[in-house]
Amino acid sequence: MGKHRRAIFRFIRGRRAISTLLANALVVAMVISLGTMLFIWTTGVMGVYQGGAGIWFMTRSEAAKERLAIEEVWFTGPGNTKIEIYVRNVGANEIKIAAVYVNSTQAWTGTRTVYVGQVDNISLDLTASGLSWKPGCVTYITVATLRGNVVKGYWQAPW
Amino acid sequence: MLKHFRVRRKGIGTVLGAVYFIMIVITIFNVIMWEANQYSAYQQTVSLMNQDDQDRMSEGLEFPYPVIEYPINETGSIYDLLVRNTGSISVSVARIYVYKMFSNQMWILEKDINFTNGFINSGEINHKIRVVSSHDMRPSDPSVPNFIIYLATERGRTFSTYYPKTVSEYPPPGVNVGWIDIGPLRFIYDYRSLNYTTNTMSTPAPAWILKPYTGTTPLLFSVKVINLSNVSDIWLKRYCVFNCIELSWSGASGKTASFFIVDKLSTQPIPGAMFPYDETSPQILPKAPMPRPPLGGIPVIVKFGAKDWGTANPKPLFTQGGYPMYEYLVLMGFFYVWKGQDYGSTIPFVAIRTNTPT
Repeated sequence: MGKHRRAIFRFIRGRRAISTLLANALVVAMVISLGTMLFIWTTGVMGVYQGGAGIWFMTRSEAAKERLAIEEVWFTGPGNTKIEIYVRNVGANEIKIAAVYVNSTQAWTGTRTVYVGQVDNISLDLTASGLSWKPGCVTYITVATLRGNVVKGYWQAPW
Repeated sequence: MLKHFRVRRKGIGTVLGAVYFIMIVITIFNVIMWEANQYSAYQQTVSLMNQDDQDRMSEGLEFPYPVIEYPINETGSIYDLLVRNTGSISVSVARIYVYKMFSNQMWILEKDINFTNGFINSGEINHKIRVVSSHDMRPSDPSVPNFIIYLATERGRTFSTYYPKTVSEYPPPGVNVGWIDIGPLRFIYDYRSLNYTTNTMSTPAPAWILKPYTGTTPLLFSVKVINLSNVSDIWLKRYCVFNCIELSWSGASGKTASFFIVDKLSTQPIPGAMFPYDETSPQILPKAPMPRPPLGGIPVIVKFGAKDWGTANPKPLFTQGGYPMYEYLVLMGFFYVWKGQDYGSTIPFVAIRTNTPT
């Protein structure tokens, strides 16, 4: 009993080892907190990066699968104000046509879905945009899709 | 060893740090592996689509003379379309468009409904696509093209021909009857490639024989030109001129009637329908989409009708009355900017007549 009392007394009165214990505890706490913060930050950054890269790869892949062919352009209509454009989806993904330009002026806008292997025609009424085709003139036609692909070419109007 | 590790009092922080480090490294490694997978999948898609593009570019169809045969009846609505596959890959025709010139009509022929036998193997030279339609394909005038036939393939290419063909497919060796090339310019000799209108005639007509034509009647000539160069567009200058040299033996005065270029929107040599050529917004002959394009490039119609350059003053061929039969040799002067430099060419073009009966 006396022996224990002396040991407790010596521990209370002692000036050494307490700093070592605290230092150890502090270091462990710092490692845990900093490590946890670093891990959370890393997983967050990686998640954000993965999300952005995933969207990039997905949109690029979807766009790369698009192939659109303008099969025929028919200049018609009263007052030379109509153009029929026949487009075929020859890609591996459905296509949404967003706009058509005639001589660099927007002549049609909207959303027209063309499925793989299908052909569709877009009727342009040039009256609203103040355009008209001239007999024999070469017309520059551009078809743009929602994913950002563009198909363009020159077609000559009939005499 | 384990007992030694268990009773140790030092190194807990190091162990925890190492664990965290390993976890972070594994996380980053996972992300790198994921990105490699994504990139691989993307490259696979691009490769597949590139292969499709190569297949598309490998297609090649031609229409051997006489383009259409009528094997069954003479009504003209059931016929065989002759096709030659000159490409390195088989072709499947998805749709046929028939454009009827002069009346501006379009007929669409669907696969398996209006035509059969649309699959053409590579190397086939006389393939027949059987067409059953409700439209008569017999030309009203066999000497001029009446139709344009477009074949659209399943890969997205389009091949076209005039029907009937008016230029022999196989000219004699060394003879070129279809066009003349001077510098980067190609001038076409189709029957419909040289046309004219007058102050009273708004519908263009072939200008090989102007008939009936009397003096003081202003003229507007239209010429089909192609830029063969795939390097640069060509900007035409206002000095471009269509010179008609009278041959005096036929009673003409021997003068030269010069028609200068006018705006491409001009349709007739009358005020409000003929516009002066403006060099600040010049007529452009677009460059060919590829070297040596199989169809020769993009045709553009250039119009001549002004008495002086840069004006819309109309000009007649001659001023005598009546309907004289004269002959003209046509020399064209083409002044243009190509690759940023000024050029000029004399084009020995055509010979035209007025009022001759044949």
